[in-house]
Amino acid sequence: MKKFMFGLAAATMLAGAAAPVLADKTDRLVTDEYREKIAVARAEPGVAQYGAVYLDRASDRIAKLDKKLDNDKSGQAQAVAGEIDALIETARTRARIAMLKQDVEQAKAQATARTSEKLADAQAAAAQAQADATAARSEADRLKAEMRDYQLKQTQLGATLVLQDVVFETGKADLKPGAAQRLQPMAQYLQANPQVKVRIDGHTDAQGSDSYNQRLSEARAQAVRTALAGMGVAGERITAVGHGEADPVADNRNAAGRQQNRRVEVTLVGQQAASFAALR
Amino acid sequence: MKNLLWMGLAAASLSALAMPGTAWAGDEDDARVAIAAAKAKLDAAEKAGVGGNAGDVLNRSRSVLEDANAKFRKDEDRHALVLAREADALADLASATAEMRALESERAKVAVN
Repeated sequence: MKKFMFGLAAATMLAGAAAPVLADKTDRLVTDEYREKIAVARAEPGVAQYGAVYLDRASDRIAKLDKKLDNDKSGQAQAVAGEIDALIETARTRARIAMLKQDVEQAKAQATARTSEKLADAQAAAAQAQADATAARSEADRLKAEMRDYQLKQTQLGATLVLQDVVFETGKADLKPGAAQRLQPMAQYLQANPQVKVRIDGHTDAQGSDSYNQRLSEARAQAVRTALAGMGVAGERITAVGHGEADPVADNRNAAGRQQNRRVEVTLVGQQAASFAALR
Repeated sequence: MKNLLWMGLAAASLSALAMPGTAWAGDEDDARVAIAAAKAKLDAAEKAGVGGNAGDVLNRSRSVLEDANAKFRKDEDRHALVLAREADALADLASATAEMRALESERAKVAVN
Protein backbone atom coordinates (compact mmCIF):
# COMPACT_ATOMS: atom_id res chain seq x y z
CA MET A 1 0.00 0.00 0.00
CA LYS A 2 2.84 2.30 0.91
CA LYS A 3 4.46 1.61 -2.44
CA PHE A 4 1.26 2.46 -4.22
CA MET A 5 1.02 5.72 -2.31
CA PHE A 6 4.56 6.65 -3.29
CA GLY A 7 3.72 5.91 -6.87
CA LEU A 8 0.74 8.19 -6.73
CA ALA A 9 2.80 10.95 -5.17
CA ALA A 10 5.35 10.66 -7.93
CA ALA A 11 2.58 10.77 -10.53
CA THR A 12 1.17 13.89 -8.88
CA MET A 13 4.50 15.64 -9.14
CA LEU A 14 4.87 14.60 -12.75
CA ALA A 15 1.38 15.85 -13.62
CA GLY A 16 2.09 19.23 -12.02
CA ALA A 17 5.36 19.51 -13.83
CA ALA A 18 4.11 18.25 -17.19
CA ALA A 19 2.39 21.45 -18.40
CA PRO A 20 5.33 23.84 -17.86
CA VAL A 21 7.65 21.35 -19.53
CA LEU A 22 5.46 21.25 -22.67
CA ALA A 23 5.26 25.04 -22.82
CA ASP A 24 8.81 25.02 -24.03
CA LYS A 25 10.68 27.55 -26.08
CA THR A 26 9.22 26.27 -29.38
CA ASP A 27 5.66 26.90 -28.22
CA ARG A 28 6.50 30.42 -27.12
CA LEU A 29 8.14 31.02 -30.46
CA VAL A 30 4.99 29.92 -32.21
CA THR A 31 2.73 32.18 -30.18
CA ASP A 32 5.21 35.04 -30.51
CA GLU A 33 5.20 34.48 -34.24
CA TYR A 34 1.41 34.83 -34.33
CA ARG A 35 1.50 37.91 -32.11
CA GLU A 36 4.01 39.36 -34.54
CA LYS A 37 1.78 38.45 -37.50
CA ILE A 38 -1.11 40.29 -35.89
CA ALA A 39 1.08 43.31 -35.09
CA VAL A 40 2.39 43.44 -38.66
CA ALA A 41 -1.11 43.26 -40.08
CA ARG A 42 -2.34 45.93 -37.67
CA ALA A 43 0.42 48.27 -38.87
CA GLU A 44 -0.59 47.90 -42.53
CA PRO A 45 -2.62 50.74 -44.06
CA GLY A 46 -6.28 50.59 -43.16
CA VAL A 47 -6.12 47.18 -41.47
CA ALA A 48 -6.40 48.50 -37.92
CA GLN A 49 -9.30 50.70 -39.03
CA TYR A 50 -11.30 48.29 -41.16
CA GLY A 51 -10.17 44.91 -39.78
CA ALA A 52 -10.06 45.67 -36.07
CA VAL A 53 -12.82 43.18 -35.22
CA TYR A 54 -10.94 40.32 -36.85
CA LEU A 55 -7.56 41.30 -35.41
CA ASP A 56 -9.06 41.50 -31.93
CA ARG A 57 -10.55 38.05 -32.34
CA ALA A 58 -7.17 36.80 -33.57
CA SER A 59 -5.49 38.30 -30.50
CA ASP A 60 -8.01 36.58 -28.25
CA ARG A 61 -7.20 33.28 -29.89
CA ILE A 62 -3.50 33.57 -29.07
CA ALA A 63 -4.21 32.42 -25.52
CA LYS A 64 -6.12 29.46 -26.89
CA LEU A 65 -3.23 28.65 -29.22
CA ASP A 66 -0.82 28.83 -26.31
CA LYS A 67 -2.98 26.44 -24.33
CA LYS A 68 -3.39 23.98 -27.19
CA LEU A 69 0.33 24.00 -27.89
CA ASP A 70 0.94 23.05 -24.27
CA ASN A 71 -0.70 19.69 -24.84
CA ASP A 72 -1.30 19.27 -28.52
CA LYS A 73 -1.56 15.58 -28.97
CA SER A 74 -4.39 15.70 -31.45
CA GLY A 75 -3.24 18.60 -33.61
CA GLN A 76 -5.83 21.06 -32.34
CA ALA A 77 -3.26 23.84 -32.28
CA GLN A 78 -3.09 23.62 -36.03
CA ALA A 79 -6.81 24.40 -36.25
CA VAL A 80 -6.45 27.36 -33.89
CA ALA A 81 -3.48 28.62 -35.90
CA GLY A 82 -5.56 28.21 -39.07
CA GLU A 83 -8.36 30.23 -37.49
CA ILE A 84 -5.93 33.01 -36.51
CA ASP A 85 -4.45 33.06 -40.01
CA ALA A 86 -7.93 33.29 -41.51
CA LEU A 87 -8.86 36.13 -39.15
CA ILE A 88 -5.69 38.08 -40.00
CA GLU A 89 -6.28 37.57 -43.71
CA THR A 90 -9.91 38.65 -43.35
CA ALA A 91 -8.77 41.83 -41.58
CA ARG A 92 -6.41 42.56 -44.48
CA THR A 93 -9.12 41.80 -47.01
CA ARG A 94 -11.58 44.10 -45.25
CA ALA A 95 -9.01 46.91 -45.41
CA ARG A 96 -8.45 46.17 -49.09
CA ILE A 97 -12.22 46.24 -49.69
CA ALA A 98 -12.49 49.67 -48.06
CA MET A 99 -9.70 51.01 -50.24
CA LEU A 100 -11.14 49.40 -53.35
CA LYS A 101 -14.50 51.00 -52.64
CA GLN A 102 -12.78 54.37 -52.54
CA ASP A 103 -10.94 53.53 -55.77
CA VAL A 104 -14.14 52.48 -57.50
CA GLU A 105 -15.95 55.63 -56.37
CA GLN A 106 -13.04 57.73 -57.60
CA ALA A 107 -12.89 55.85 -60.91
CA LYS A 108 -16.65 56.26 -61.33
CA ALA A 109 -16.36 59.99 -60.67
CA GLN A 110 -13.56 60.23 -63.22
CA ALA A 111 -15.56 58.20 -65.73
CA THR A 112 -18.56 60.48 -65.18
CA ALA A 113 -16.34 63.52 -65.67
CA ARG A 114 -14.92 62.00 -68.85
CA THR A 115 -18.40 61.24 -70.12
CA SER A 116 -19.54 64.78 -69.35
CA GLU A 117 -16.49 66.14 -71.12
CA LYS A 118 -17.16 63.96 -74.16
CA LEU A 119 -20.80 64.99 -74.12
CA ALA A 120 -19.85 68.66 -73.96
CA ASP A 121 -17.40 68.17 -76.83
CA ALA A 122 -20.03 66.35 -78.86
CA GLN A 123 -22.58 69.07 -78.15
CA ALA A 124 -20.09 71.76 -79.16
CA ALA A 125 -19.24 69.82 -82.32
CA ALA A 126 -22.93 69.37 -83.10
CA ALA A 127 -23.57 73.08 -82.57
CA GLN A 128 -20.62 73.93 -84.81
CA ALA A 129 -21.82 71.49 -87.45
CA GLN A 130 -25.27 73.02 -87.28
CA ALA A 131 -23.82 76.51 -87.65
CA ASP A 132 -21.70 75.32 -90.56
CA ALA A 133 -24.72 73.71 -92.17
CA THR A 134 -26.74 76.89 -91.72
CA ALA A 135 -23.95 78.94 -93.24
CA ALA A 136 -23.62 76.47 -96.10
CA ARG A 137 -27.37 76.57 -96.73
CA SER A 138 -27.30 80.33 -96.66
CA GLU A 139 -24.39 80.40 -99.09
CA ALA A 140 -26.14 77.90 -101.34
CA ASP A 141 -29.28 80.06 -101.30
CA ARG A 142 -27.26 83.14 -102.19
CA LEU A 143 -25.55 81.26 -104.98
CA LYS A 144 -28.87 80.03 -106.31
CA ALA A 145 -30.26 83.52 -106.26
CA GLU A 146 -27.28 84.88 -108.11
CA MET A 147 -27.37 82.12 -110.69
CA ARG A 148 -31.08 82.78 -111.15
CA ASP A 149 -30.27 86.45 -111.71
CA TYR A 150 -27.99 85.58 -114.61
CA GLN A 151 -31.08 84.77 -116.68
CA LEU A 152 -29.25 82.03 -118.52
CA LYS A 153 -30.68 81.01 -121.85
CA GLN A 154 -30.97 77.50 -123.16
CA THR A 155 -28.70 76.64 -126.08
CA GLN A 156 -27.83 73.36 -127.78
CA LEU A 157 -24.71 73.09 -125.61
CA GLY A 158 -26.36 73.86 -122.30
CA ALA A 159 -27.24 76.84 -120.12
CA THR A 160 -25.59 79.96 -121.51
CA LEU A 161 -24.69 83.31 -119.95
CA VAL A 162 -24.19 86.09 -122.51
CA LEU A 163 -21.64 88.74 -121.54
CA GLN A 164 -22.08 91.80 -123.74
CA ASP A 165 -19.07 93.76 -124.92
CA VAL A 166 -19.68 96.32 -122.15
CA VAL A 167 -17.64 94.07 -119.89
CA PHE A 168 -14.54 94.67 -122.07
CA GLU A 169 -12.53 97.77 -122.79
CA THR A 170 -13.32 99.01 -126.34
CA GLY A 171 -11.30 97.15 -128.94
CA LYS A 172 -9.44 95.22 -126.21
CA ALA A 173 -9.67 91.85 -124.54
CA ASP A 174 -9.22 93.19 -121.00
CA LEU A 175 -12.18 92.71 -118.66
CA LYS A 176 -13.41 95.87 -117.01
CA PRO A 177 -12.92 96.00 -113.23
CA GLY A 178 -16.58 95.21 -112.38
CA ALA A 179 -16.87 92.49 -115.00
CA ALA A 180 -14.84 89.93 -113.08
CA GLN A 181 -17.16 90.39 -110.10
CA ARG A 182 -20.07 89.47 -112.34
CA LEU A 183 -18.39 86.10 -112.96
CA GLN A 184 -18.02 85.37 -109.23
CA PRO A 185 -21.35 83.51 -108.75
CA MET A 186 -20.58 81.43 -111.84
CA ALA A 187 -17.17 80.52 -110.42
CA GLN A 188 -18.70 79.56 -107.08
CA TYR A 189 -21.33 77.45 -108.81
CA LEU A 190 -18.59 75.66 -110.75
CA GLN A 191 -16.60 75.07 -107.58
CA ALA A 192 -19.65 73.56 -105.93
CA ASN A 193 -20.38 71.42 -109.01
CA PRO A 194 -17.00 70.07 -110.11
CA GLN A 195 -18.53 67.74 -112.71
CA VAL A 196 -19.86 70.64 -114.78
CA LYS A 197 -17.65 71.72 -117.69
CA VAL A 198 -17.61 75.18 -119.24
CA ARG A 199 -17.37 76.37 -122.83
CA ILE A 200 -16.54 79.99 -123.61
CA ASP A 201 -17.34 81.36 -127.10
CA GLY A 202 -16.04 84.80 -128.14
CA HIS A 203 -17.85 86.78 -130.91
CA THR A 204 -17.37 90.19 -132.58
CA ASP A 205 -19.34 92.39 -134.95
CA ALA A 206 -18.43 92.69 -138.60
CA GLN A 207 -16.40 95.88 -138.32
CA GLY A 208 -12.69 95.47 -138.92
CA SER A 209 -10.87 92.71 -140.70
CA ASP A 210 -11.78 89.06 -140.24
CA SER A 211 -8.38 88.22 -138.82
CA TYR A 212 -8.55 91.10 -136.33
CA ASN A 213 -12.03 90.06 -135.24
CA GLN A 214 -10.92 86.42 -134.97
CA ARG A 215 -7.99 87.35 -132.74
CA LEU A 216 -10.14 89.72 -130.63
CA SER A 217 -12.86 87.10 -130.11
CA GLU A 218 -10.27 84.47 -129.12
CA ALA A 219 -8.53 86.88 -126.75
CA ARG A 220 -11.81 87.86 -125.09
CA ALA A 221 -12.86 84.21 -124.68
CA GLN A 222 -9.41 83.53 -123.21
CA ALA A 223 -9.75 86.51 -120.85
CA VAL A 224 -12.97 85.08 -119.41
CA ARG A 225 -11.29 81.67 -119.09
CA THR A 226 -8.39 83.23 -117.20
CA ALA A 227 -10.79 85.13 -114.92
CA LEU A 228 -12.68 81.93 -114.02
CA ALA A 229 -9.44 80.02 -113.49
CA GLY A 230 -8.30 82.85 -111.19
CA MET A 231 -11.45 82.26 -109.15
CA GLY A 232 -10.54 78.63 -108.55
CA VAL A 233 -12.10 76.81 -111.51
CA ALA A 234 -9.65 74.28 -112.92
CA GLY A 235 -8.43 75.32 -116.36
CA GLU A 236 -8.93 71.86 -117.88
CA ARG A 237 -12.68 72.16 -117.28
CA ILE A 238 -12.85 75.26 -119.48
CA THR A 239 -12.76 75.37 -123.28
CA ALA A 240 -12.31 78.83 -124.84
CA VAL A 241 -13.06 79.36 -128.55
CA GLY A 242 -13.07 82.52 -130.75
CA HIS A 243 -15.49 82.79 -133.67
CA GLY A 244 -14.72 86.32 -134.92
CA GLU A 245 -17.65 87.78 -136.80
CA ALA A 246 -18.83 84.40 -138.12
CA ASP A 247 -21.83 83.87 -135.82
CA PRO A 248 -23.82 87.08 -135.57
CA VAL A 249 -27.07 87.08 -133.59
CA ALA A 250 -28.25 90.47 -134.91
CA ASP A 251 -27.93 92.77 -137.92
CA ASN A 252 -24.40 94.19 -138.26
CA ARG A 253 -25.72 97.14 -140.29
CA ASN A 254 -26.94 99.09 -137.27
CA ALA A 255 -25.32 99.96 -133.98
CA ALA A 256 -27.83 98.09 -131.83
CA GLY A 257 -27.31 94.90 -133.82
CA ARG A 258 -23.54 95.22 -133.76
CA GLN A 259 -23.62 95.69 -129.99
CA GLN A 260 -25.55 92.44 -129.64
CA ASN A 261 -23.04 90.65 -131.84
CA ARG A 262 -20.09 91.77 -129.71
CA ARG A 263 -20.42 89.18 -126.96
CA VAL A 264 -18.85 86.34 -125.04
CA GLU A 265 -21.06 83.34 -124.26
CA VAL A 266 -20.26 81.27 -121.19
CA THR A 267 -22.03 77.92 -121.39
CA LEU A 268 -22.48 75.42 -118.55
CA VAL A 269 -22.26 72.33 -120.72
CA GLY A 270 -25.20 69.96 -120.46
CA GLN A 271 -27.07 72.09 -117.90
CA GLN A 272 -30.64 73.26 -118.19
CA ALA A 273 -31.24 77.01 -118.10
CA ALA A 274 -34.75 76.38 -116.79
CA SER A 275 -33.36 74.69 -113.70
CA PHE A 276 -31.53 77.92 -112.74
CA ALA A 277 -34.55 80.07 -113.51
CA ALA A 278 -36.67 77.89 -111.26
CA LEU A 279 -34.27 78.21 -108.28
CA ARG A 280 -35.94 79.50 -105.15
CA MET B 1 -3.87 11.69 9.26
CA LYS B 2 -0.90 10.52 7.22
CA ASN B 3 -3.14 8.19 5.29
CA LEU B 4 -5.58 10.96 4.61
CA LEU B 5 -2.80 13.09 3.23
CA TRP B 6 -1.65 10.30 0.96
CA MET B 7 -5.18 9.69 -0.27
CA GLY B 8 -5.61 13.38 -1.01
CA LEU B 9 -2.40 13.39 -2.95
CA ALA B 10 -3.49 10.33 -4.86
CA ALA B 11 -6.84 11.87 -5.76
CA ALA B 12 -5.14 15.08 -6.89
CA SER B 13 -2.65 13.18 -9.06
CA LEU B 14 -5.40 11.16 -10.73
CA SER B 15 -7.33 14.31 -11.42
CA ALA B 16 -4.29 16.07 -12.88
CA LEU B 17 -3.51 13.15 -15.16
CA ALA B 18 -7.07 12.81 -16.36
CA MET B 19 -7.82 16.53 -17.01
CA PRO B 20 -6.20 17.32 -20.37
CA GLY B 21 -7.81 14.43 -22.20
CA THR B 22 -11.24 14.64 -20.71
CA ALA B 23 -14.05 16.53 -22.34
CA TRP B 24 -16.22 18.64 -20.09
CA ALA B 25 -19.94 18.26 -20.21
CA GLY B 26 -20.22 21.69 -21.87
CA ASP B 27 -17.73 20.89 -24.65
CA GLU B 28 -20.26 18.94 -26.67
CA ASP B 29 -22.70 21.81 -26.62
CA ASP B 30 -20.00 24.33 -27.49
CA ALA B 31 -18.86 22.20 -30.42
CA ARG B 32 -22.42 21.69 -31.62
CA VAL B 33 -23.13 25.42 -31.47
CA ALA B 34 -19.85 26.29 -33.22
CA ILE B 35 -20.52 23.76 -35.99
CA ALA B 36 -24.05 25.08 -36.47
CA ALA B 37 -22.77 28.68 -36.59
CA ALA B 38 -20.08 27.84 -39.15
CA LYS B 39 -22.58 25.89 -41.25
CA ALA B 40 -25.04 28.78 -41.20
CA LYS B 41 -22.30 31.16 -42.30
CA LEU B 42 -21.21 28.82 -45.08
CA ASP B 43 -24.77 28.32 -46.30
CA ALA B 44 -25.36 32.07 -46.33
CA ALA B 45 -22.13 32.63 -48.25
CA GLU B 46 -23.07 29.97 -50.80
CA LYS B 47 -26.53 31.50 -51.18
CA ALA B 48 -24.94 34.91 -51.73
CA GLY B 49 -22.89 33.49 -54.59
CA VAL B 50 -19.55 33.73 -52.82
CA GLY B 51 -18.54 30.49 -54.54
CA GLY B 52 -18.34 32.29 -57.85
CA ASN B 53 -15.66 34.74 -56.77
CA ALA B 54 -14.01 32.94 -53.87
CA GLY B 55 -14.72 29.25 -54.48
CA ASP B 56 -11.22 28.29 -53.35
CA VAL B 57 -11.59 29.79 -49.87
CA LEU B 58 -15.16 28.56 -49.55
CA ASN B 59 -14.03 25.01 -50.35
CA ARG B 60 -11.38 25.21 -47.63
CA SER B 61 -14.04 26.31 -45.17
CA ARG B 62 -16.34 23.49 -46.22
CA SER B 63 -13.56 20.93 -45.92
CA VAL B 64 -12.59 22.07 -42.42
CA LEU B 65 -16.23 22.00 -41.37
CA GLU B 66 -16.47 18.40 -42.58
CA ASP B 67 -13.46 17.58 -40.43
CA ALA B 68 -15.16 19.26 -37.49
CA ASN B 69 -18.26 17.16 -38.01
CA ALA B 70 -16.16 14.02 -38.25
CA LYS B 71 -14.45 14.81 -34.95
CA PHE B 72 -17.78 15.60 -33.35
CA ARG B 73 -19.17 12.24 -34.39
CA LYS B 74 -16.16 10.58 -32.75
CA ASP B 75 -16.89 12.55 -29.57
CA GLU B 76 -13.71 14.59 -29.95
CA ASP B 77 -15.65 17.67 -28.99
CA ARG B 78 -12.77 20.03 -28.26
CA HIS B 79 -11.11 19.25 -31.53
CA ALA B 80 -14.45 19.63 -33.31
CA LEU B 81 -14.89 23.01 -31.62
CA VAL B 82 -11.56 24.47 -32.81
CA LEU B 83 -12.09 23.10 -36.31
CA ALA B 84 -15.59 24.61 -36.42
CA ARG B 85 -14.14 27.98 -35.41
CA GLU B 86 -11.51 27.68 -38.12
CA ALA B 87 -14.25 26.88 -40.66
CA ASP B 88 -16.22 29.87 -39.38
CA ALA B 89 -13.21 32.18 -39.84
CA LEU B 90 -12.61 30.77 -43.31
CA ALA B 91 -16.25 31.42 -44.24
CA ASP B 92 -15.76 35.05 -43.19
CA LEU B 93 -12.60 35.17 -45.27
CA ALA B 94 -14.45 33.69 -48.27
CA SER B 95 -17.16 36.36 -48.08
CA ALA B 96 -14.59 39.14 -47.79
CA THR B 97 -12.51 37.68 -50.63
CA ALA B 98 -15.55 37.45 -52.89
CA GLU B 99 -16.45 41.07 -52.15
CA MET B 100 -12.87 42.17 -52.80
CA ARG B 101 -12.64 40.31 -56.11
CA ALA B 102 -15.98 41.70 -57.25
CA LEU B 103 -14.73 45.21 -56.46
CA GLU B 104 -11.46 44.59 -58.29
CA SER B 105 -13.42 43.49 -61.33
CA GLU B 106 -15.73 46.52 -61.10
CA ARG B 107 -12.77 48.88 -60.77
CA ALA B 108 -11.14 47.36 -63.85
CA LYS B 109 -14.37 47.82 -65.81
CA VAL B 110 -14.86 51.41 -64.68
CA ALA B 111 -11.24 52.23 -65.46
CA VAL B 112 -11.64 50.93 -69.00
CA ASN B 113 -14.80 52.95 -69.70
